[in-house]
Amino acid sequence: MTIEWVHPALFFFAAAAVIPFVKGWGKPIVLLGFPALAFFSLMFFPEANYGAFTIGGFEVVFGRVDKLSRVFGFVFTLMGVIGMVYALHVKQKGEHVAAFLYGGSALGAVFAGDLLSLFVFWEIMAFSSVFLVWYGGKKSKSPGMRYVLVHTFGGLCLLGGIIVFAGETGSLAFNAIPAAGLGGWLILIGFLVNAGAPPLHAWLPDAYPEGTITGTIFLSSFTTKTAVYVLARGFAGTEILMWVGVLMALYGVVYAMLENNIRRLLAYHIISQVGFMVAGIGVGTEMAINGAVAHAFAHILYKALLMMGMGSVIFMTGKRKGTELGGLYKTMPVTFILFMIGGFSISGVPFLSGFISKSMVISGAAAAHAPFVVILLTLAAAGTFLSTTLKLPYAVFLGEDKGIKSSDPPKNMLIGMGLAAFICILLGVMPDLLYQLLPFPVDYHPYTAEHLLGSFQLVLAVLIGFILFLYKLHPEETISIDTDWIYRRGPKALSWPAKNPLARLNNFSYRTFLDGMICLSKSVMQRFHSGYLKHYLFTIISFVMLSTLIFSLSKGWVLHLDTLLKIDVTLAQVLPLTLLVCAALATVLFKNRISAILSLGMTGFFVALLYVLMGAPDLALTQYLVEAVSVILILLAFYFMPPYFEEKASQNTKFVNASLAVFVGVVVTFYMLMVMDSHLVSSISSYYLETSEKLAGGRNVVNVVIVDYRAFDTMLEICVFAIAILGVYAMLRLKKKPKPLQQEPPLK
Amino acid sequence: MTSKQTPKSQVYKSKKMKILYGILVLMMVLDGFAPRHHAHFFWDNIGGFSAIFGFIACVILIFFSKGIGHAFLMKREDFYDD
Repeated sequence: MTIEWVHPALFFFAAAAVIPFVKGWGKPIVLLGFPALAFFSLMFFPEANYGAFTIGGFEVVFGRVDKLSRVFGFVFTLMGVIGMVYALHVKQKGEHVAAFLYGGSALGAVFAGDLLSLFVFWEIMAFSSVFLVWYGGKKSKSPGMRYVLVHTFGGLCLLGGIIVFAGETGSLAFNAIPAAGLGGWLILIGFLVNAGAPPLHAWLPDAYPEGTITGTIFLSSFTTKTAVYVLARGFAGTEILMWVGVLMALYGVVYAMLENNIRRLLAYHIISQVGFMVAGIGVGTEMAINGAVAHAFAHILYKALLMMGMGSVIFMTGKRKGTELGGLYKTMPVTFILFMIGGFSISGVPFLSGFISKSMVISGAAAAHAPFVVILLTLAAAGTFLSTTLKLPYAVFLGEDKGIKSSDPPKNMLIGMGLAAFICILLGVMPDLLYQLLPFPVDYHPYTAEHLLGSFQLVLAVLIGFILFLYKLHPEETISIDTDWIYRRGPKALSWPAKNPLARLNNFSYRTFLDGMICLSKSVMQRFHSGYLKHYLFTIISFVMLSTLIFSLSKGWVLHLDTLLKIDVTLAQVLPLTLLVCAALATVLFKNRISAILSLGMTGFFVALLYVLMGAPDLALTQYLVEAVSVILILLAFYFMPPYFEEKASQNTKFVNASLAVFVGVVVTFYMLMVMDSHLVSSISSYYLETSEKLAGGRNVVNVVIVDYRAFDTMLEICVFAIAILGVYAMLRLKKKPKPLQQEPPLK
Repeated sequence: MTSKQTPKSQVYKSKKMKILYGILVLMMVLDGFAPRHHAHFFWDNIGGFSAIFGFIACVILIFFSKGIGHAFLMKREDFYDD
């Protein structure tokens, strides 16, 4: 069986899966071997569409190999090798995993032949790369979060665009996309976020300088260049990109002039350099596209070299600001020389890689007769030389010697830089190595007399200008606000009204409400929570009465006057009734406790007497017993209570108490009358009357109900009674212990 | 380097600078004689145009960037810290 094709991303993903488990010699083998295999694998497979599947009616192509995707594949895998050499010493395996996932998904995006798989890899790229920022330490937390948020926004634009575009065209194939209609524009915006086009670029200089020393190398290589690839694939010749590119090229240069953080300065130059590529894509001629792709290839390598150089400086000195550094050429000579090779490359100095690619973009624009693009890009090129190759190394390596103790970085880092520098020189000397990989046939010769002389003149003139105005160019301890101000400070500005007038109003109303509630509850508690049993009883009784009254009235229970007339009272009953009333009055009026309790007992006995007269001896007996027991209990209770203090109640209190008593009496009477008036549930009573003898063998229906029909209830009630009796017994047994005599303290 | 050895106002007439001027002028003159293959714009035919452009570009970039930087963009380092 022959292997049809192996996706180069698979090598990266495999490395990401394997690396956590390898130790010792295995680590460098995996770190370097897998990306190297990916690089070589690209040489062997001819151009074709591999890995095509049909998912839900759409064709998904994972492996579109043509010249355009292959050249990006080459440089990404090459960068994987160089970056991993530079990162060999890193012990944090999570960083390696993130880097491999990130590089693999960048390769996946490059070889994706359809928009769906492109989107998937696009998102993996964003979410794996952020870890390279987050491993950078505490300070990288917020920039990393902003990085994720901006890329999520870009990803959503892309996804929305893909959905609209696919809906319009019925195909997910990723070829030239017209920058027209909602779908096309959304896709373009999604791409431009990753390209770092202002005003959507601020994530790049925000997050990249906070990444790890080695992670930043990968960051500055993959994301923006994947964006260049998709722009070249989808939007070649879109005129607006020409101007976006010019804007990027100059924007990055201006900000780089101001920047003090050495890696942020380089980050702004990524924007500037990607601007050249985007402008080339916007011009859209074969030569300009070739130039853009060549420039991407060259740029990845020399930008990585520059980042590696500055990363080494930070790695060795721990300082990342131009104002803190200086005079390092003595202690880090190799780093200095390698950095300068990168610096001369990015500036387009002849015999280095930038010369053969940048000039191609500008010549492409010139051939397409875009004079302003040519002039502005040349201006940006001058600015690149000025800040990357003159100002930055002057501040870090030359300039004032701050006596910083350091040395050249570990060997693997130097080798990584050396490899990148070697390729920069190799491409500069043998441009055909790169030109043969470009998507269109190249008919361009960079090494002409006019071209060489022009480049040297430009460089020399800028050098003279730099020396003359050096006093203006010393690094300053500042940061520059960029469009990230909008999402870093904008919310704060927006929240001003909420924080000030609105919050005050809210605070005021809330406070007032709370204060009111506290005031109310205080007054209520003070009134009802006095600690006097009497007051509690008063509250309880009045509430019970009121609520039951309201309930019964709402039920429509009405007292009929004729009910009153139906009551017939015999003369024999009048006497006990009168005595009953007298005893009740006496209970209220007696000042002595015992007398009051006894007269209360009297009322009970008179009730029992009434029952006898009305022909219910059993009820009378029960009433009699209950009354006797309760009188004894109450007497006992009072016996154990503290002595009675005569309380001088005010007239008002007396009146209130009296009216409550009258009220209770009236309401209860009212109830009694209503109950008498209401219809009894006849089915139950007749059932009991009929069946008590037959079923239970008792003629006293009440007794039958208690001990038979409701025997269970009765039993439980007896239990309750028994428990209560036990309690009473316990209380009776409880004698006051005599207080032990207090021992007099011995005299001194 | 140069600025350290010579006072600021004297930099432009130091010996090393004179050498640089000499090389630049020589190149500009040579440029005037170089054959043109791809002259797309009128300035492509002017000998020494790149040098003049480069110097002007350098001056513009320095003064423009630092100008707007000091006017609007550059803030204290703790600008975003709260």
